[in-house]
Amino acid sequence: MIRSLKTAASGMYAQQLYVDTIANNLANVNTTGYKKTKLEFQDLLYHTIRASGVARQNGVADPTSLQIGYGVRPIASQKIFIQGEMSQTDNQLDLAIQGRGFFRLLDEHGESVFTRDGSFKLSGDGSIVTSHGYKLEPEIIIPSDAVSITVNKNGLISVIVEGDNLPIEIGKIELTNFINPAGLENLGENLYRETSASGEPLTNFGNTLHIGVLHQGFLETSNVNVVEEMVNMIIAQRAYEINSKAVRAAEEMLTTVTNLKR
Amino acid sequence: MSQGIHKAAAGMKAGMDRFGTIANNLANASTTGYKRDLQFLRLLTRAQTDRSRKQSGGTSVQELVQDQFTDFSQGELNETGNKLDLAISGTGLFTIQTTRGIAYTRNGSFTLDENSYLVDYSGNRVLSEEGEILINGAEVVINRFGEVEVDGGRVGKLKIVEFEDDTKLRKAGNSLFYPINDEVEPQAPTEPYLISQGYLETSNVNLVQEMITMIALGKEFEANQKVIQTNDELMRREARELGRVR
Repeated sequence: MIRSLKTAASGMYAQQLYVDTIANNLANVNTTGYKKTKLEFQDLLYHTIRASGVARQNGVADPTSLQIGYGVRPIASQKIFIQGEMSQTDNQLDLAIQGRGFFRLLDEHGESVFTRDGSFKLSGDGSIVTSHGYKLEPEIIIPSDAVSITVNKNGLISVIVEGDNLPIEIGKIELTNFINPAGLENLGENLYRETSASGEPLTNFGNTLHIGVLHQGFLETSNVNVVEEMVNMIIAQRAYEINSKAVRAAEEMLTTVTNLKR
Repeated sequence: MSQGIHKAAAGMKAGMDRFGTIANNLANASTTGYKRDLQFLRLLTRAQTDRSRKQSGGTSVQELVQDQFTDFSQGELNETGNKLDLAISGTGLFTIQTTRGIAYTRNGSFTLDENSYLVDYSGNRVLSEEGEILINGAEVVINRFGEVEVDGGRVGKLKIVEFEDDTKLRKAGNSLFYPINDEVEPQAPTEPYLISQGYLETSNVNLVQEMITMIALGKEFEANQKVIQTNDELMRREARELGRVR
């Protein structure tokens, strides 16, 4: 009976974490480039009360076994990399990726980090940086006399400088892909880092791979679907409630047992 | 007299086990690929061969046997969009290499280990018909037959198996099933199955159904308690009142 109490408690804990995840998704419903998180659960160990195929006193073997599980545990949280919607900003340094792929950035330690958030800025020295000040990799420097910047679908950047009518090509934004983006480590602030589960970063140097296309003047919105999250929240909340009922029922059964002898 | 008390006690004990199964189903309402367990009670009757009494009919002994089955019915498919999330529609199980031998699962939420092999979330490698599955490249496509292609090159076909008798599998946690002994051999699925990439199979636990069973179980438990209390009361009267001289 104590086992049932703990089993139901593990169910309550799992649903509570599920609601936490949903709350975080809902909080990020307006975060540029945010990808929703999903929790993965696995069942816990089983207690084998009776194995199948073991003969009873009368010599007849039971065809089935009797195993009782110990509940559930959260095993992983994974990002769901479904495309977000495009929202028009008309800002010439706002870039949205349609399709797969990530922007590759260099953080302050010189390590590669990745993002889908394409709201770029210009730094003091003219290089394209994110809101955290991380530079795009490979670095792209916009000349100080540039009057307009154009980024085409393939990431080619051209500028028009003062006193000149012809655009000059100054660089190319290379998108990076992973074979298993769900395995990336979340760093927060819309940043991801490669792990053994995500695989090596595959940067589109030389344009041999088709990854995704860029849209200038657009930002990718969060891919959180409010309706879906609300439905998940209802399910999680009800499952939590029913697990709490199981705790109460286990407690009532224990009371019944203690009341056997009046 | 005391037979009734023992029967009711056996019923209560079985009720506790059944409740454990329901609690576990409820706890796993959100577990990918979880298959719910069902417990049934069966009354095993056998004639008592007590020849010393020379009774014509003889008494019979009844024994309460608990049977358990795993309900392998299909869960719903939930889209995740992740390339290494797989779901099976129809019968069949994924084959997993674990340190304790070959295991089987319906939970297709896979990832890659440090050597780029396809693994489950516990780090056990997923097997194809040809062996382990190395995913090294830029794009992985898994078609409806379970054939894995990386950058257009075939690396193997997922080993999907079924068992003639599902009761010959036991659960071991972490979504894994093991055969109960070495004699139980998997076979190729007899009916067509469908692999969906970017989908996961949800738990097949039905909360309403479990809730109803839980309520019924609670009432049954109370009824057994009453039987024990009544028996206790009768025995108390036998002991105290029957022999009393007024």
